[in-house]
Parts: sequence; C-alpha cells; structure tokens
Amino acid sequence: MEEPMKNSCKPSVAVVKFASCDGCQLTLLNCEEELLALADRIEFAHFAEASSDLRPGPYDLAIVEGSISTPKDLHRIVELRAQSKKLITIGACATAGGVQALRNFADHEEFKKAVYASPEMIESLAESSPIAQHVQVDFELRGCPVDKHQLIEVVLAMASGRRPKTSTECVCQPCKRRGTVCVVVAQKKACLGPVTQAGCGAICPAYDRGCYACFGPASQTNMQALSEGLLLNQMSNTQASMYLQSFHPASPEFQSESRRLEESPRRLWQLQPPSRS
Amino acid sequence: MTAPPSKPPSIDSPGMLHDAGPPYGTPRWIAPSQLQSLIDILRIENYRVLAPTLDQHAIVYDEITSIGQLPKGYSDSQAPAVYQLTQTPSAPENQKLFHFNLGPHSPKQFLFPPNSILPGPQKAGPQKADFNDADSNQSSDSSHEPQLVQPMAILGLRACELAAIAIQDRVLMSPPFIDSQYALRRKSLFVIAVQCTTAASTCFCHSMNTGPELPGPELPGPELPGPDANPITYDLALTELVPSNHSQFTHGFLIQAGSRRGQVILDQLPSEEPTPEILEAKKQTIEAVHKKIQRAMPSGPSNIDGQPGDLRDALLARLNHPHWQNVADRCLSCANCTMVCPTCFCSSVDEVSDLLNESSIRQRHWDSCFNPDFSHTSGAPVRNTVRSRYRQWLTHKLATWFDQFDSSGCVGCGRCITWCPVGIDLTQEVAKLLEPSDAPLLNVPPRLHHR
Ligand code: SF4
Ligand code: SF4
Ligand code: SF4
Ligand code: SF4
Ligand code: SF4
Repeated sequence: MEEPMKNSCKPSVAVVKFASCDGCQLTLLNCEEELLALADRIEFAHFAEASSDLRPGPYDLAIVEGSISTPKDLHRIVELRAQSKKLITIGACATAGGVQALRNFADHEEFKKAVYASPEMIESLAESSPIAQHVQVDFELRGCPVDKHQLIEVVLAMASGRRPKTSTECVCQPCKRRGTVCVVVAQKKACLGPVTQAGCGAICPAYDRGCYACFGPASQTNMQALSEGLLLNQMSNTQASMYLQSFHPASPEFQSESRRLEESPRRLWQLQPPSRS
Repeated sequence: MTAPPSKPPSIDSPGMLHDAGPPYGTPRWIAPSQLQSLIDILRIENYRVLAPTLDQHAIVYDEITSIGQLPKGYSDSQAPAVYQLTQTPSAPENQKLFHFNLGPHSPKQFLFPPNSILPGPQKAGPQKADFNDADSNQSSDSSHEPQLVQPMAILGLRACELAAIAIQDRVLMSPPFIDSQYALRRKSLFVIAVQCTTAASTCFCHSMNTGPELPGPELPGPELPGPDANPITYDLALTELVPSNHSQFTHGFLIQAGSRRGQVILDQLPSEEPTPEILEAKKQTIEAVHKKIQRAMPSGPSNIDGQPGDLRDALLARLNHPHWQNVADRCLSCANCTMVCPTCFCSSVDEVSDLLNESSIRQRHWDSCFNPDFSHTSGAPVRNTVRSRYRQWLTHKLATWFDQFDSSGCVGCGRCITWCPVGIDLTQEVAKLLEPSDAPLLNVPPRLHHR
C-alpha cells in the first residue's frame, strides 16, 4: 500500500491510552514470545505499561487505546496525531466509544451525580466518542479486548507498509470452522455472531454462550433479520435492545436497531429468559 | 454367494477408490458387541476410528475407541433452526446405537478440513526460490509433499453422506484438477455406512435420489444423476435392527461388504447367516423410513408431456423473481448453511508471514459465497447484496452445479435447514420461487456437459 515507515532504523512506536481499561495494551504485553521478535522490527518509544522510559515524539506509529471522554483528551489526541506518521486505534473504546458510550443514551449530568461524591470536580464530555471522530485514523482494530494475532498482524503490516490482513466475515464462519455446535440452534441461546465482525476466533460460542458483539458490526449486517428471526424468539424487545447495546452502543447499525426495538411495542410473549450464563 | 453388487464399481471411475469386485456383499448378521471387535481390528490396522459421539448438546463425529462412546439411547429432533438432543423414550428403540439422523458435522470436516496448511513456496538455499507444488515430484524438500495423515475410518455415514462424498470427489479429485491433500485423505478412508432407520423432519434425501436406503446387493444403489455417475461406495454397511413383539431375533446388525478390504475385515468377525425374518425386518424398517420423510424438493413445473420439469431451468429462468428479495430480508448472510453443507467446497488461501518476514506459510480455510468479500473483484464485491448472495447459493446448489459437475450440488441432507439460525428452508424457498410472478421468465442457456 504505502512505503515502509523507515528502512534504515527500526520504526518508533508509541502506545497511548485514553478512556479505557488497559485491556488492549495488556494484550500487547501478553504477546510474550512474539514481543521479542517484534522488538527486532520496531522500537517502543513510549509504552507506559511496559517501561517508564517515555520518550517524546515524533513517532512512526501511534497505537491508541481508549475513547475521547474529557476535554483534555481532545487536545491530547490532536497533538498525538500531529506527532505521528501513522495512527491506529485498538479496541472497542477507541474504535466505537466503548462501554462508556452507554452514557451517550442517558443524561450525563445525572450519571455524574449518581457516581461521584463531588460531581463538580469531574470534567468530562457528555459523550464518549471514537478517535476517528476527532482525527484521521489509518486503521481501526476491533475487539474488547483486541485479539493478539490480529494486533501483531496490524503492527507488522504497518511496519512493512502493507495493508493489514484482517477478516471482514462474521463470527459464524470461524465459529463453524472451529467445530462449535451453534448455540442458537442446539441450545436456544441468543447470539450476535451473525452480525458481528470476526477476529476473536469465535470464543464465546465455544464456551457455551452467545456472542456479545465485542468486535462490533460485521461489514454488512441484516439487523432486522437478526432481531425478528433470532433475538425475539429468546427475549423481549427491551432485552434485545439492551443486548445490542452492550459493547458497541455507538455503532450506527447497533444503535439504530436497538432504538427501533425500544420504540416498537413490547412482545407480550416470551419463550424463555435470555440465556447468558 | 449372492449376486454381485448391482453396479460393479470400476477402478477407473473417479469415485471408486478401493480395489473391488465380487465376490463380496453377502449380508451377515452380527451381535452389537461385534462392533467393538470391528473398531479394535481397524485400530490395529492403524485407522483412526471416527463415529457419532455426544458433544456440545449434539451428535458429532469424533474419535472413539469403544462402542460405549456411541450415543446409545439418544435421538435428535430437528426442525428449521432447531436441533434438540433427546433420550429415546421406549424399548426397543432405546437399545439402539444409531437411532438418530445427521448432526451438524459432515465427513467434509475430516476429508476437507476447515483449516489446513497447504504446501507453499519456501525459502530454499540462496540460489533458488522453490515453487514446486504438492503434486510435483521434482522437489527434494519433503515438506512440500503432502504428508500421509493417519488413515481414517468413519463409522456411521448415511446414504446422503456417501452421495455428498461422491460429489466432493468429483469436485476435488477429478483429473486434471486434483487436490492432493483431499485425495490422500479420501483414498485412505475406510467407510462403514449405517442405514438410516429413522428420518428427521428436515431430511429430503428421497427427492434428491440419494437415500434413505444405502446402495447394496438387494437394493439397487441410488446414483447421482448424470452420465458416468460415481458409484456411491462403502467398505462395510450396517443395518441396526431391534426385535418387535413377536420377533425371534435379538438386537443386532446386518452387515455387508462393499469392497474387498471390507470383506476381509467382515470375515474376521463371528457372524451368522441372517434369517428370512431379519431380512424382512430390514425391508420393513426401510419402508417405514420412507414414510417418515415429509420434506421434498419441489421439481420444476411440469412440461408439456406432464413430466416433472427441470429444476435447473426453472430456477435459472426466474433470476428476477420477487421472492429472492423476500428471502434476502430474512437472511443474515451468515454462511452457516454453506459451512454445514457436506458438498460446499469453497475456500480461501492466505499467505501468512512470520514475525521477521523471513518465511511464510500457506493457510487454507473454508470460505463462503455469503461472505461479501468472497466476490471482491477489482475494487468491490460483485455480489454486494444479500439477495444476490442467496441467489448465488441456491442456484449454485440446484442449477449451475449441473453445468459444472454434471450433478446436483444438494443431496437433501437438510443440514442447511436445521443449522440456519433463522430457519430458512431451501425447499420452501424453491416452492415460492416456482410460484407465478410479474417478472418475465428469462431465456435459459442449455446445460453444459463436461463428461
Ligand atoms: S453460535 Fe452464534 S456465532 Fe456460532 S454459528 Fe451460531 S449464531 Fe453463529
Ligand atoms: S464471540 Fe463475540 S463477544 Fe465473544 S469475544 Fe468474539 S466477538 Fe467478542
Ligand atoms: S440462509 Fe440462513 S444460514 Fe444461510 S446465510 Fe442466510 S441466514 Fe445464514
Ligand atoms: S444444500 Fe442443504 S440439504 Fe442440500 S446438501 Fe447442502 S446442507 Fe444438505
Ligand atoms: S454454494 Fe457457495 S459456498 Fe457452496 S460451493 Fe457454491 S459458491 Fe461455494
């Protein structure tokens, strides 16, 4: 796609955190064996989870975790973008606002009062938003947390100047390939796999529960078919709407379908309670 | 000796892999415990024995060492988007080891596995890059040759699954295009077929001419439509019978060989000559299965002679039927139907480099025409709507497969109906597509023949 970031010396990489739980950065640390080989290809100039040696920019690659949630974040992200040749986001927070975007659907001031003893001390924005809403992003990696293999692939692709190979299919395909018996059909459980972007290796159904869509919407989704043909056989409209909001509440596909479910009349019957054990 | 099999398989035909020929095929009667001896013999001969087992709330093929691992007393109840494992309530059925139909996994899982590593380019010495493929003998590097995996024996394959294997044989190992890995696995496969003695509500093998009866000496074997059809073969076939009220026999299996190596193994098992009562019981059991099959694939509309018309032509004339959009509104394009289908063969290949960019491996995985990227060509997917993708799937299975491979791509196993998470049933969609509509019928090109 583009030129390699640097030929002579190793590209410098910064891992920077915004509003998030650090889980995605931990995925990078969990790469253990691969980290050594990675360190041969790239240089971590700024990675607070790994080292207190935090060097200032500019960087060849910024790996951004977390969403924009405070006024201060807004300045930091613009500055980081200016300092970085390439910027990628990792995880549901950075790509779609994360779980904290649930506040986008509620009264933010009320939330603050309910949670904090002195809400006036809290400086936060009314909405939690994805990085791409504020600066140009070169690649968005999905997941909550991201998948280790995909993360390495993206970092290596960026270091080699090629397009990352990440799948665009839905979770059902890797689910079937790993030999999992569909939990919808064999266990009458709800599952968002048919509308969710693959990448995790279809973990959840392999452990007997439906997918929660932590990788966000697949490249093409038929949300209404999922609600009418699958979810509403297992749960009420309200439950289905909440199910769709769990991990990527700010994704347009999930947002509009969960709104539609909220607004349509509640189903009077319920086959059985949602199985989410 | 009874008559030889009605369709003596010839070594040259693509589906016939084992040395074969009469005399074999005389039915014998064995006690259930002899299945253990059968498994033991196969294991001594270095086979990995796969058979139905209970796993993940379903019956799926897995490796077994003992008949205790078979789902004795279990049954399945199937409907669109429903698979329910049940315990067979009453005697004598609850003694049976095979009183169920198809689970989600088919022999494709083993012969054409979901993920595999293909022989690919490798960094050789500094002089030359070596791009020999799997079929080439020139490579001195043994890692380029497909490795002989441990031979497999699958116990429990049904008539429709044998038909599905015959279809995949034609797709994956008809000269000149031979998938060497598939061919290796297939040629070493030992097939122990099991006669269906019950039918699921999703089965429609009868209307696809692939079942429910296994081919054999007494029953003319179903054959794939088309010239030069592959004989559908097995090494051994079992029919499980349980006594009714006044029967003189006890629970046991009719067993017969379909190949010489099957006969060699059968000769090692203590067996008896089946009584006329047993042979009659088998006939009645198969008749009862026929009656249980409720679903059918509609045939094309009658032509002038009142003969059933050609479904291929009927579907290809209706590519603009409004019902395609109706299905598209319900379909998730999730690809479950193609993944569970025992004949779907589509895959994608990725070159995956190591961390230091020094070598790569070639990975193959099942893919599907329901995946938008599957038809990605020069910048955009050709089939970018669910409507076009569902239409591709259905018309490939039931129409264009004939042009490509001289047979239907559907064997009527019903898996795509049971395992579609929203319960879309192709037999019903075909019926709707055959209903009159405002869309004018298209001219259909004549069928291509390859063989
Ligand atoms: S369990 Fe979920 S992800 Fe897996 S095949 Fe079924 S619907 Fe798809
Ligand atoms: S199955 Fe779904 S919820 Fe579970 S890890 Fe994968 S994408 Fe996330
Ligand atoms: S027909 Fe069913 S299984 Fe097939 S892609 Fe559509 S929703 Fe998925
Ligand atoms: S199309 Fe459906 S019924 Fe036909 S062989 Fe495939 S899975 Fe079985
Ligand atoms: S129906 Fe689709 S997945 Fe199946 S063989 Fe045809 S193109 Fe491939």
